[in-house]
Amino acid sequence: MVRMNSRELLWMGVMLLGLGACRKDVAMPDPIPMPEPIPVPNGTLRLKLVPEWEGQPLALYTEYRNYVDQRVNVELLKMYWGEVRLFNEPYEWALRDVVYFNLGNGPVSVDLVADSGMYSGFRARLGVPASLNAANPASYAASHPLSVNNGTYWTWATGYRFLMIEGRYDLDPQSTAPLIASYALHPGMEPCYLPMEFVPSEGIRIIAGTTTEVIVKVAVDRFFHSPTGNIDLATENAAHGNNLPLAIKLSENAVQSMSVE
Amino acid sequence: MNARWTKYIERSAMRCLPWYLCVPVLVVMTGCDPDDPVEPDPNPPGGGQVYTPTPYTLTYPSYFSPMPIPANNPLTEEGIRLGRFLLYEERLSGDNTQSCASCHGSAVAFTDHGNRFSTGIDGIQGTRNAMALQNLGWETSFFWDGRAATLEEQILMPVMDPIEMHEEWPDALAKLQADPVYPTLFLRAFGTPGITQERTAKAIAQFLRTMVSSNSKYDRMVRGEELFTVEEQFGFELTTYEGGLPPDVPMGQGGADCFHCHPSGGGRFTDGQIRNNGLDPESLWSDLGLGALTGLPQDRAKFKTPSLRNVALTAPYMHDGRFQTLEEVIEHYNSGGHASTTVDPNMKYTTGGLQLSAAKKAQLIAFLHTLTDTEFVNDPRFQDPGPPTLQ
Repeated sequence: MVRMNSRELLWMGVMLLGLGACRKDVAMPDPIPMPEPIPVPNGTLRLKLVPEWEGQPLALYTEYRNYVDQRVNVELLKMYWGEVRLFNEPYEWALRDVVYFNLGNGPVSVDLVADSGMYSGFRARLGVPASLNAANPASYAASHPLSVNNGTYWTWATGYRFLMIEGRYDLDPQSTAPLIASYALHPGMEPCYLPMEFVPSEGIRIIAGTTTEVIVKVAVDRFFHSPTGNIDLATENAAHGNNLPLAIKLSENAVQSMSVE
Repeated sequence: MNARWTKYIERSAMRCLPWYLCVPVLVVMTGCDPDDPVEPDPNPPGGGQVYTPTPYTLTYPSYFSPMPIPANNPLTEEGIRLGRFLLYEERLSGDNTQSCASCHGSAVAFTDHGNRFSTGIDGIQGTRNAMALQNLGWETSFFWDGRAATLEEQILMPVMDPIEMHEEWPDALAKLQADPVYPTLFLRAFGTPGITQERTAKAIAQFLRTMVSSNSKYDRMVRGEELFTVEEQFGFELTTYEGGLPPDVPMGQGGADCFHCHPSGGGRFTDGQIRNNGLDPESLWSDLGLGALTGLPQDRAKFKTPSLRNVALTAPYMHDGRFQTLEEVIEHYNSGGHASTTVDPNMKYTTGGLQLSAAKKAQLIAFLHTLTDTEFVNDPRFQDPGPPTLQ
């Protein structure tokens, strides 16, 4: 047995007094179980979408010239990306099921947690995956990409508009009158859910604890023309699910308009 | 306790104490953590009055989106009760004659009793129609021009507006403070004493968030409790179809094309956006709406899209109350409205119009009446509670 001298006994007394000073009803906590190890987020892939018109930053309500020199502006630009994933053939790493971009105020970024490593590139689809597209929009909180507050839900089709671009135009290139005639192109529904693949020349390196930014340029002027199909605003100024060929053409153009450096 | 300081004490103790005493020292140190519950301060600021408000759980149908409730203003029984008294409190106006509810009567879905414009305490008339108070918890902007971003922010404004309640907040608060009951109601609602304009707005906002209209015939149809008539059903479908008829409009669906701005998804029948719906040609624009607020040319003549819920009760219509009947409203959209530099791109039929038949117009009207929620407008919980009472 350990013997204590008077000084040690004094210390012990002080300690016991200290213990007694604590409130009686403060129960000693149960031993805290050790939490399961939480995987540390490896790194972040930041996708930054930069809308442009012929290589210059897109500005809403600004008058531009389209591929046939008609005056045109853009007043609204929104889009969804579905099934965003990194890839290294033959493997893919899912990052996010759906991402919403409102490009009305310029570049928009989204941060996605990703495993560290070197990847060839990333893939996504223009739109909303079928399972989410069929879900009840009321189930989403205001901050969710699929919230009805984003004004992207299509009641009659019980699904989302994958891409929304609206604006005005004037078919007369010589006119100086204000733009009045409007277009509103809203592709949606399964045939418009088109695949996209982006392969930066140097690949994508995700480093633990850091953010890797990939800039995706969105050449909005090319929404209206591409090697596979031009859009004639004189007759093709409205697509709301009732004009599927036009919706698909616009979706294809939009996919082709996006590129990474 | 600061971790660095804790470490220092531990080290000092280790140097001067025998090993078998270190354990009790650490036990004492952790056992007396200042984060532990402590006895209430017997002399807290405010004279020692504290109260724990009772949380309130708001219920609404599952086809409504989750209502965002601000973290700094959770719903409580006491806050809602206070908010109801305050909504009907005439002492918030300069001459103690008008309350918020004076221009938002329950029988007309909390609009201004069929008046085109509301008249303030000085007899001055406003220039915009009073908006309905219903389902406001889901809105993301308030007033016809969207100048308030939150309900709490919105509530502060009419009290000070010289053509509405025309009162200074300090004077209004002094009147509430002098009341024998309000100080206690504020204490109960917010846990500590104090009557402020922020708390007043918070309480009214809490009450307004409980004013959910969700039991119209449309709602009962959605829940499978009631069936639409054929006419109502056709009318509903018309709202969800694109406008235009071939060959004038390739792929046209012959519908009324309401859904772009008044989507039923989420239960709101509005997307809450601010837009120009083509009421006037550019040369006749007088009230610039959002444009007057921002000064931007692209925002001129844009106004908030109201909900269609209870629309049969909320005449007259539009921001300036220009239309007396739903028939006039339907006719406006059927005409296509006026093209302009800011008319919404979804107003796609400014040339030629929708060309709805008389039968289709009648079907639309029939459907709009299914959005009337008589239970909501007669709900005793939303009526004038009379003078404030503690019980």
